[in-house]
Amino acid sequence: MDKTILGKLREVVGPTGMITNDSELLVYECDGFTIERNKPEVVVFPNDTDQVSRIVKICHEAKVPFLPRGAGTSLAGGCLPVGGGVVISLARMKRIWEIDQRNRFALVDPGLVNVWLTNQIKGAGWHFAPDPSSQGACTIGGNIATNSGGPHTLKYGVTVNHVLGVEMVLPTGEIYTLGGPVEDAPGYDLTGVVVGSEGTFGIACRSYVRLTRNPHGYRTLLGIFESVDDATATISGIIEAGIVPAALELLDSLILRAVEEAFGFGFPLDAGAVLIMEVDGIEAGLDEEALRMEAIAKKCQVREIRRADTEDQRLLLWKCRKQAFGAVGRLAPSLCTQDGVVPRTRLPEMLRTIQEISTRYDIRIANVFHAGDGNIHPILLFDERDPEQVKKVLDASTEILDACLAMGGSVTGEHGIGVEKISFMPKLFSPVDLGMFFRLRNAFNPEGLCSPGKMLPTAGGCNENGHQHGNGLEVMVTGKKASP
Amino acid sequence: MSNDCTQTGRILLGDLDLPLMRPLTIAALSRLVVEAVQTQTALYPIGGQTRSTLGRIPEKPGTAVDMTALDAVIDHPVADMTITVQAGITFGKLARILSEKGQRLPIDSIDPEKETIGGMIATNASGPRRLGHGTLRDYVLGIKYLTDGGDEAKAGGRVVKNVAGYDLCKLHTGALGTLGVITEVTLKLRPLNEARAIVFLRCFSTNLEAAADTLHNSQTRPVSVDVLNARAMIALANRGISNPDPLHTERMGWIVAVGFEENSLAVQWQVDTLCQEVAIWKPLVMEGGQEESFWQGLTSLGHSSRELNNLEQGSGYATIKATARASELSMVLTLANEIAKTGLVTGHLQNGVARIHLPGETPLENVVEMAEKLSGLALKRGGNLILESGPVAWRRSIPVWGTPRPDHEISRRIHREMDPKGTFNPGRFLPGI
Ligand SMILES: Cc1cc2nc3c(=O)[nH]c(=O)nc-3n(C[C@H](O)[C@H](O)[C@H](O)COP(=O)(O)OP(=O)(O)OC[C@H]3O[C@@H](n4cnc5c(N)ncnc54)[C@H](O)[C@@H]3O)c2cc1C
Repeated sequence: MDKTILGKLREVVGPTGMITNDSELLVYECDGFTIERNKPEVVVFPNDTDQVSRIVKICHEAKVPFLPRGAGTSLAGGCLPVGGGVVISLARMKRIWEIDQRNRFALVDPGLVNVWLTNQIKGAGWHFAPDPSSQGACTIGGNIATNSGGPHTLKYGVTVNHVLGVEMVLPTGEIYTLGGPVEDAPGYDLTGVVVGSEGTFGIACRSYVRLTRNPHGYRTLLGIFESVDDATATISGIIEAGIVPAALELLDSLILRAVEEAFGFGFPLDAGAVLIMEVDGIEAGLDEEALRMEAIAKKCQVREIRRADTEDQRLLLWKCRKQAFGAVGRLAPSLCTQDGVVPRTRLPEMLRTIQEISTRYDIRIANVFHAGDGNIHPILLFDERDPEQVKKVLDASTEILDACLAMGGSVTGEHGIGVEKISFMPKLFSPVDLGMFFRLRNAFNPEGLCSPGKMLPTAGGCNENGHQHGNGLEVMVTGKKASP
Repeated sequence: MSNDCTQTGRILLGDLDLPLMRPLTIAALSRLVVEAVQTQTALYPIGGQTRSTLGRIPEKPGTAVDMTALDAVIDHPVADMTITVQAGITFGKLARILSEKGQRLPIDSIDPEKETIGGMIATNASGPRRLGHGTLRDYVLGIKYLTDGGDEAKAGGRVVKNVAGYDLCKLHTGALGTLGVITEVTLKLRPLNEARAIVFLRCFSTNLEAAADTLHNSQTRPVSVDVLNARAMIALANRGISNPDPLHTERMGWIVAVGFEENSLAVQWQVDTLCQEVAIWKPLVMEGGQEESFWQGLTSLGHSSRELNNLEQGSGYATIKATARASELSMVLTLANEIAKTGLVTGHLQNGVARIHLPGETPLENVVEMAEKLSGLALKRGGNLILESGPVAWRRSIPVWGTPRPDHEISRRIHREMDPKGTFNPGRFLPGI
């Protein structure tokens, strides 16, 4: 990179606000999707919106590609610096600027770790509702970029339902505040369309996020089933009965064994599946809802129902769920965590399909997922050092995602398209649909310098730099991937 | 003209006298789009005409398109809690189909038998229960729309969770049809609640802020918290929605209506709890059937098609909406009540949204003066002022979309990309769109 550009960047962030040496840059060559890597030329660490804007202006003038990065927990290669250039890490921008309980919002920096906000306000009876399993590490800026979900988004909605406004640095360096804490701002719902744009519309700096009241109480049940089919039938039964659970999470036998080994929760190792069923809200009525769920599970041949009776038990149960990805790392040297969606009623069929694919490819697949949303996360276990296994995992993943599409679903419920799933975009969307996406992107990022090679395919499946895109695979290599 | 699209009459939109076409198929609608683009004229989609007095006065000649023939249910996978419908379906028809299955779209409609889903999405419809259930934006999972090429494009999908591609569902919601003609949507559904109740608090003008604070600190989780001045309460009573306390309203104070919707035990507990918390405001409870009509009446106040039709003749009501931080709304409401002598004043207290419904015959100078005063206060409190419906003369004299915000520039950039020729509903939305 041109020395004068580095010099200009140094003027903005100072010598301690940037990384240029090769060994340190290694960390920034990928995120949780490790199959594709590319080193940036420099990583900068701005302290505030103004610095972000000045950095972006420098890149824009010099026509250098740049890319925002939060905690780097993306599983879709969102942080892959396609074409090198400048990575703008928001890690040092982690202030909470304002907490306004009366108006139910907080103004926070993009690099603030998700769970920190909740920790800050829980004493006062509030929380930030989006709770991705990675919430101990991922940032609110990253949540906004990917429109993250989590177990409790079944009832409370995903990130976009909890963001009121975003201060954006556009790819030209201009700063605009979109939306804000007051509802019904006239104009297009710019906040709504920026959330989930995976960093391709600019850099989200401070954001106004909605605060949610803590429920008065929870009832958390653990249904132990002989088969996955019985568990998924229970899910359909609960939804059909008009119950709106706070969470419905399914763990299959392979995951159970890994989690049990890691946390010793006391899961039965011979169970076919475990379903975490939680209702929350006003105390009155919770017992009745829990009883109704229990009755539905019984109708679906549940073997045993346990209750998380104390808050400690409940928290341990959720810890098991949220760290299941980490625990499963014990089972194989490499993991590939997939993210697909099917209509809830197709879950039994989808899980049978996954089982069949697993057998046919001779690749073990563990399942732990947001069952109430139909959002599956099959985890493919393999050894990255064996090229044959890598190929099998790639092909098996593609088959799983194609099956999701065939059932009327989607190839991503919360992890995003990134670089990983670009090849699926033409399967999901027609050229006309994609054409409109391009037009929209042009309104924000006409030169494509901000997060190039993400989300949208380019002609021939290659991006501007001739870089070949991923093929439906995300690989988390145990040991190399810091799990939150 | 072919048999899948006929002219059914003419319609007045602002000053524009437009032919009204009624396509029976998407293909026919698409031909209308292509023709409009080729002839550089405009296309004005029309649903139930419940909000045709919203927005600036359009000037570009063209064609009005009656969307109501495109009202099919495409798919209703009941157990998945989603439905896919064509945009011309009325809210009422949709609600009936859903309630048969114990489901609903928990959005308040201003006129269920007229209002179409497409029109509701274009205006991001909402009402009192937005506090608990959100606005339409939170329910649109997928969308199909006709582009300026006349092609049907889609975004989102039919599943409840999906992050593939840009969220054009959000972008179209509230865009007043300026980005394409919405043809089909997939909606997320909710189960019908077992029980509902509304608790009415009666407080004098000076107590509104104190009541708001108490409600903010309440143990309960209402789905709606609305404020009505006496005239608004009387207007509802005139429509047969029982007035909880005629005596009070004559003393010109405020009524605060706190709504609950959940399972019956939770509703009962909340009603009891709230009644204790707000005992000094002499709570009255409405249960057992009238709640729906109260919410519906409140949503349609000043908006019902009967009143809108009269608006151009100078009667009926016009509506000004003022927004502010929720904590500051009582101030806005108090000012509104003072200056709008003959107006019905209402507000979603915890959403920071106030409305002043003024008789259409109010002299323009008075309206302009009122709007300026309110706008000044709203702006100071982080909000804005929007003219939601009004006679043509008002819409020419008051900035319909409020004081311009810097981010309107981004809206214009998006519009230039998505509708470069200005075909879809031009001139009605933000200046420049
Ligand atoms: C163990 C594990 C569990 C996970 N569980 C979940 C889950 O339950 N639900 C879920 O949704 N996801 C989950 N994820 C995925 C991931 O954690 C989320 O996508 C998260 O929101 C990413 O946040 P981040 O700060 O790490 O962002 P990064 O990975 O740093 O970035 C993600 C994308 O956002 C862009 N970006 C980052 N910050 C900004 C900004 N300020 N402005 C604009 N663009 C920006 C980046 O360019 C990139 O494209 C999980 C990941 C792991 C490793």
